Amino acid sequence: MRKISSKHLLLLAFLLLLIGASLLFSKKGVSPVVSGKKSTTAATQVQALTMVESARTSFDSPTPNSSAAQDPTAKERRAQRSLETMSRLLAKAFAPNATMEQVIQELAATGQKPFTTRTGDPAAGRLTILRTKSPLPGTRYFHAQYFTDEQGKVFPQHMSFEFKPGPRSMQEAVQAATNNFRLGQATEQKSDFIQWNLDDDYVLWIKKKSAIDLEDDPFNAYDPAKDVGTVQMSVEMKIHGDAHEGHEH
Amino acid sequence: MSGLSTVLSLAFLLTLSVSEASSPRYSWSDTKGFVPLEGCRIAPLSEAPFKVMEAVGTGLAANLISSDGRSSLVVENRSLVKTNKALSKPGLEAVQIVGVPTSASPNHHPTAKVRNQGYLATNALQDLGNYVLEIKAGTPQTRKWLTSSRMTGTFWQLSLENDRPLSLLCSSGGTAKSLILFDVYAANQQEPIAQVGIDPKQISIFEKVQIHSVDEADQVLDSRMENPPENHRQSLVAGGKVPTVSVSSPLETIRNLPTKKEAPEVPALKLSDAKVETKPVAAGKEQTIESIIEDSESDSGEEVDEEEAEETIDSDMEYVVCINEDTLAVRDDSLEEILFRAERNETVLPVQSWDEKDAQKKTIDETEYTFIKVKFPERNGKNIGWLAQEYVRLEGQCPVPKAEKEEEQISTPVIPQGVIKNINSASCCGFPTVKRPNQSYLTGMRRFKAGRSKGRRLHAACDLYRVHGETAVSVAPGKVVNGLYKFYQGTYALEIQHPGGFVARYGELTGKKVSNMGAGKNVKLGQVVGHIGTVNSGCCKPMLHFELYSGTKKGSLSRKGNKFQRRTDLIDPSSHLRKWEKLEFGSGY
Repeated sequence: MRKISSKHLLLLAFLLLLIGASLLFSKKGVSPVVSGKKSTTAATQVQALTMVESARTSFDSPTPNSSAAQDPTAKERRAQRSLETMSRLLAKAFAPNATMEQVIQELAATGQKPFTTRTGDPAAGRLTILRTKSPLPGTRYFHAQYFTDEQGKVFPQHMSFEFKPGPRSMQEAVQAATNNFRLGQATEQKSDFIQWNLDDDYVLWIKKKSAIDLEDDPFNAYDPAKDVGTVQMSVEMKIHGDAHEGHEH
Repeated sequence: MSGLSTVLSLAFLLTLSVSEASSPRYSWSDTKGFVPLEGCRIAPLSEAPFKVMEAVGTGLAANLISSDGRSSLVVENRSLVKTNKALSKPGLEAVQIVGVPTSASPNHHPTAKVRNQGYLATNALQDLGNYVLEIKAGTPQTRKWLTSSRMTGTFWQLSLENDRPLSLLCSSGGTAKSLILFDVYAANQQEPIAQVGIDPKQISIFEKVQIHSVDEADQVLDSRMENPPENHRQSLVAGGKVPTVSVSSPLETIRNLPTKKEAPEVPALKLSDAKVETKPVAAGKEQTIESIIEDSESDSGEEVDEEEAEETIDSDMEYVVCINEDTLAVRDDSLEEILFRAERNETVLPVQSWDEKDAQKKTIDETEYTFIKVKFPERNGKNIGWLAQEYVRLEGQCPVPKAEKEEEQISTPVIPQGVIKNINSASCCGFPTVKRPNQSYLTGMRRFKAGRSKGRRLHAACDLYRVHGETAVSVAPGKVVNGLYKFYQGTYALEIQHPGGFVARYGELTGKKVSNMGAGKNVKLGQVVGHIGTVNSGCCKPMLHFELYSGTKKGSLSRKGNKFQRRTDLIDPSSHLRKWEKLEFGSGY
């Protein structure tokens, strides 16, 4: 049997050291936070302060280098939790006596940074749009529209969010809706679309978006190369009838 | 509440006009805006609690030192502060920052913001009586009050008598209040248009100010008048001391506007360079605060919801590139390369990615910026890149006005010429699609009042079957009430109020935006309002879902509680559509 020389042992030890070091540094990741600013101006006598901006700036998302972000299983679990959270929020938003303020509070409490815009006037209808700046992982483009009716009552006309594309995204969204809403028989069902009546006023539908569905959205930015298969869950006021009543073709 | 305050203010003003000739008086409330005052008396003060920070000698800033002396923030020159004598120390005044200059450029150091507290050197503080405050756009909370009363851009000066500031002593409900009295000037008036009492605890109106010396303010006001007076306004001439520090006049910034310019990589946003008055007063119109409040009364008929006010922005949900210059660099993912240049007021959509960062920081010229990823929906080809976040704003928040684009008008409808006064006018109206519908809108599920959900609901519209993507047009001149919003199964709607008050909802449009179709925009008969869409369930053909309302009711068109799920002035559009179809296409269904 050939003997292993000390030279080979040293080489082996060095290689092991390299492998160990690379594993160690890859786990640490890179902090996105910029800390510290140097004092450069002579005109003032300000003592430099270390200033740490909030890590969750607008439209921010988890650092891609973190190990949690790289682990697909952990990412999927986070996305599913987000799907459950948002489905539950939609269900609560359309419960009797639910208010827009409660929805805003819930979004704020989950760190999603809600904000609203307002157009129209009391004479012809005021429309308030509610969106968020910092969505939960795996979801995005939360969008709600509230109207103020003749009696001054504020009510939701539309509320939706999107869930990330994936081989099981549509099924997962349907499951989340089933878990959080009291759903009967679907009134319309296809491979990429399903709809239920919630009551006399509202429907819940889930749509797996095709490239055509991603076109010309006035609120949301899409990349057709990446976003086909995005799943949207929406609750909105009815316009058409049920499928069997539908428009003549 | 606002209606009541208007009635009260008018009644008060009528009384006032008989009894004395002085300017009307109001107090400012952070939650209620301008509130008419009565039963107050004037009393001189030894000193007003407001000062202007203007560093003498060394530079353009001073230090706001924390109470423990361990840290400090930079206070920009000509910031407005409130003092607290009780907490002051030798050589140092206890202050709270009330307003910061809107023309401040990015600083290397942490900068004091409104409501920060600390100590400033006594010799850095100047008497407010030597300055005039120009009220700028305001915060989200105060902007609606300032805009509706057209007080944005007015000039405020401490009321003085024998060089002493004046206060209003008012009692209400058993409590006495002392308000600091200000004279308010507008560009086309030589005399104050009002006097406003300020409670030192309710000062959000001053959060966005530009502070001028008295001489500077006179020149700025004169520059906005058609016939400026030869002499200074008597009331703006101060007998007190003139600031000793020579600082760059805001007038230099206003006068030296570049005509057409490409912005540097990341321009400093000098909001003072932008058009200062977003709503200039018509020449010759006497602007008084009561007429302003009266004019705006129809727009603000509801209570301010204090909890909602902070985050609600009066704007379409549309982001624009908000810069003074003509273009701004759009960068690639590394932020190192410039992909193309965005134009001023170009529409952008902030991106929310699934697994990538949508915000990153970069230092340019020793200033750190946050860049966000955006899409330019009006561009073909490469249309996603990175912009500095501070230049991406909601349209309603951008002080740089958007230039009106030429509207697209399909064809002049062949209808009797004449003014359309209401829906029943002989010359009303045009048909909302450019060609006759493919199927009758008077029968089947397309007709008005067709049963839905086994008759539990009724169809509130006529459905006009046409071609996906084809244009829909305005039936009459009017004004957009609500621009494109999500309507049903991936389609959109917008609402236009037409002559005589009747309202039309154009529903089941695609999301493709048409220029000049935002809320508040005027439209012409036949103007393109959108494009006919198709619901995403695949159930139905492309159609324009067309609703009509007489305009005799208030509130949103959609509502719950009746079979139509609509406002109670909903009308059957069938006979009107038949008339318009016959006028335009020669015959009808």
